[in-house]
Amino acid sequence: MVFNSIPFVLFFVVVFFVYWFPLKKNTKAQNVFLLVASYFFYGYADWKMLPLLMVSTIVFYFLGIGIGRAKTERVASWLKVLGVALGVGLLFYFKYLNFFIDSFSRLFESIGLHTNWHTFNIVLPVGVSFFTFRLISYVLEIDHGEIEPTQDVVDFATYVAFFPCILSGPIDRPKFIDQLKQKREFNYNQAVDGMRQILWGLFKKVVVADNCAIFVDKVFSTYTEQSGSTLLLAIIFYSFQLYADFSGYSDMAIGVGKLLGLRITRNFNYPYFALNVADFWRRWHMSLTTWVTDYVFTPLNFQFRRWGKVGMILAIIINMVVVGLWHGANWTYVLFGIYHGLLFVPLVFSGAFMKKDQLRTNRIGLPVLRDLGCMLLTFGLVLIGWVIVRSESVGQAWEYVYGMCNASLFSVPLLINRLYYLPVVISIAIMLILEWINRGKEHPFELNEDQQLPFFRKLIYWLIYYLIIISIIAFAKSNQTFIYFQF
Amino acid sequence: MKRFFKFCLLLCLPVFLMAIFYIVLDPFKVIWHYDLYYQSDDFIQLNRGFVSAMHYANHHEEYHYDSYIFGNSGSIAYHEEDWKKYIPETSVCYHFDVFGGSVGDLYGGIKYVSRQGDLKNVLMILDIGSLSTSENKGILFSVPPILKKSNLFKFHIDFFMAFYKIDFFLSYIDYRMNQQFNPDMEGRLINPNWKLGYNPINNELIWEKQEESIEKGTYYDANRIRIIEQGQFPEKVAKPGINKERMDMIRKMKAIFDAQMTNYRIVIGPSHNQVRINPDDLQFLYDVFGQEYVFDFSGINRWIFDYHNYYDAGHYRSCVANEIMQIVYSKK
Repeated sequence: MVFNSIPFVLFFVVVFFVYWFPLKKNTKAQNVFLLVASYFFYGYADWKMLPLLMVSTIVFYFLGIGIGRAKTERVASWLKVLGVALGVGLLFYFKYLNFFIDSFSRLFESIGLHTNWHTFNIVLPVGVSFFTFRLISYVLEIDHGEIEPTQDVVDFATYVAFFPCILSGPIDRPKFIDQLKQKREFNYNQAVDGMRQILWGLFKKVVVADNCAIFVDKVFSTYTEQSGSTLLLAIIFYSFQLYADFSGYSDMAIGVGKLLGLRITRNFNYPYFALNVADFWRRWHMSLTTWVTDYVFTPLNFQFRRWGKVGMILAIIINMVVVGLWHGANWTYVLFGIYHGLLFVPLVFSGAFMKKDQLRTNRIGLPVLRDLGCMLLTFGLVLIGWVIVRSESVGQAWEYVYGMCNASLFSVPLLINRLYYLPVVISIAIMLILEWINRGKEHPFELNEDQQLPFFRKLIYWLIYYLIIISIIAFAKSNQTFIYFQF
Repeated sequence: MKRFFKFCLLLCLPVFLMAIFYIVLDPFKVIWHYDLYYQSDDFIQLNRGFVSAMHYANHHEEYHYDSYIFGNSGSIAYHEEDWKKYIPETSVCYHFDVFGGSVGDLYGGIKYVSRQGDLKNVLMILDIGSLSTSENKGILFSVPPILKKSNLFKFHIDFFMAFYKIDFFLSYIDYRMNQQFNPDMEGRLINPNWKLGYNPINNELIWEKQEESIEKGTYYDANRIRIIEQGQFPEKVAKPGINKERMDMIRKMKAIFDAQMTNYRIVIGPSHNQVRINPDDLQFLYDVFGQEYVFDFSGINRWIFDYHNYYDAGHYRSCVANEIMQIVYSKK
């Protein structure tokens, strides 16, 4: 049941009405209902794994209480370690076990040792990477004294399984539970903002991402036969596909949350306007990167502090490999992590790593030449990373990059038909322009409802909404899923 | 909350307007009632399964059909006048074809018809496509809920979305305004040069213009010959297509034939790609319907060596169908 489907619309209409009408005055009942709806939503996607979600929720609930009530720090610490081990173990078993068996088996065979190891037939539960990170952060934050363990199992289970975020994030932190404890009032401004954000997310997913995918899939399936220019164009399209797909999903999730009176953490901050790779990772999949920064990078950086900048680089590379591996069990993701980790090296040595540069614009609102150059350079470096992510193997990634670097890079790229390119390029341009103009906001359609807009400006806004809606219908493809579901 | 609902209504305004425009126009003829689904000025391809079912519903009381040709678009080659040489002259025939229809979809048609009338004679035309488990996508091939358990709402939403798909909609508007077919519209609108004929009594489609062109010697140009002749796999055997669900449907189909004492024949047509039906599937059909009633022409056969036996890579001509019927009905 993806957000851009009729079943989800029907599901959400029912949830919305029950939540805000019969249950309006009863916060507890609202939470129970949200939990039931979330389990229904998850079960609709993968009912066989619903018990896993429920059992792991209950286990972590009691672990949280156990840590909170532990009489000594040692016991609390052991319970925390148990929680982290369970969470990581869950991920390891479902996501990485076969990868490690296969990799070690190959490694031993390459040095002449024959193993008789077999991989298992393991089905990856949908959303496992997202809900396990929520569970792990819960025990860690209790142990760090940042939050108190919740006594309410419904609140905790709703936080873990909250349906807008369960399949593809954002990865909310346990502070989200505080919102569930508070009474919720329907807020017109917040709800309208949620609707606008959903609309923007839909546009990015349906119009930009799904249409870019047509060209990308075609080129990647025949990459050995394509010219350098076609390969370059395909990876540029893929970069927009990936961004529009994932940030579109996040926008829709956040919008749905707003309609229910709940704030979901922001996941993207216009990453393609980043001035360097560090800046890029502060803007891309922010809920994951802040999670990994807090729980992986910071402790590692502390451990390696006596090695100075080398220690920091090591911590960054490990951190980026974790980010890469989180996406999937494949050597391409490890390479992706190492690649991005290495991109940080000049930033660490130049001191630009921690510096948060502000984008500077000229009189007509465009970036100044230096910043534009930095943005393009960052985008180019990120593109190489996306080749690695999109490839099925490290070898394919290498062949792809190699295929780009020859004289055919200056030839005319493959043309599907004229009716294909124009709308795709226009939709990417619209996305970038609107995001550039509104880069100070959470999403381009964010408006201050209390501010009285002149009639003409209101009219322009409504015309843009209508054009977006019409384009969503005109470009919709059936059965398109979200890329990040696979993670 | 009222203010929010007003906002939502205003936001959905273009969707409502588009829906009204679509409903009024009903370009695919799936909303309103039509006595006659095909008109001379048609330029949009209709969902054949829907037309077959609705035309039958509209006319079976008038004509009292009792003999049926079931199949996908491959069955268009079979005509009532030729079939009548092998079944009683008094039979009233109906061509119930479902474009891209699988054997399960044909079962839907048989069940639908058997609830309303007699099934004295049935000629069921299958091919590798109708036994394949891969589904044809698109509104032309979506099986209407009247024939198959499926979501009526989704069926209509698919048509609505297909109408506003940018490339289709632009072609539609262009043709409506200029009444001119241009090559860009190929695959979206009906090319008037190749429009099929139609018999409103028995719901038969006829390769009329194609036959005329063949007679004139203009039909088989180099491109068409290339398309027909490419993609032949004489060594290939199709993957098994009759799964448990289909086994059940086929058995139920046989039960209907038995209950109605139907004189039936099952034909697996000569696909030009030469792919042979999976032996397990064939054996299952033999077991259920009886070997003397199932005729397999898949794989290498005498028609595939001459492209003149085919209109295109997926459709054989009536001359082939006539030969097949002769073989089928000569066996006692």
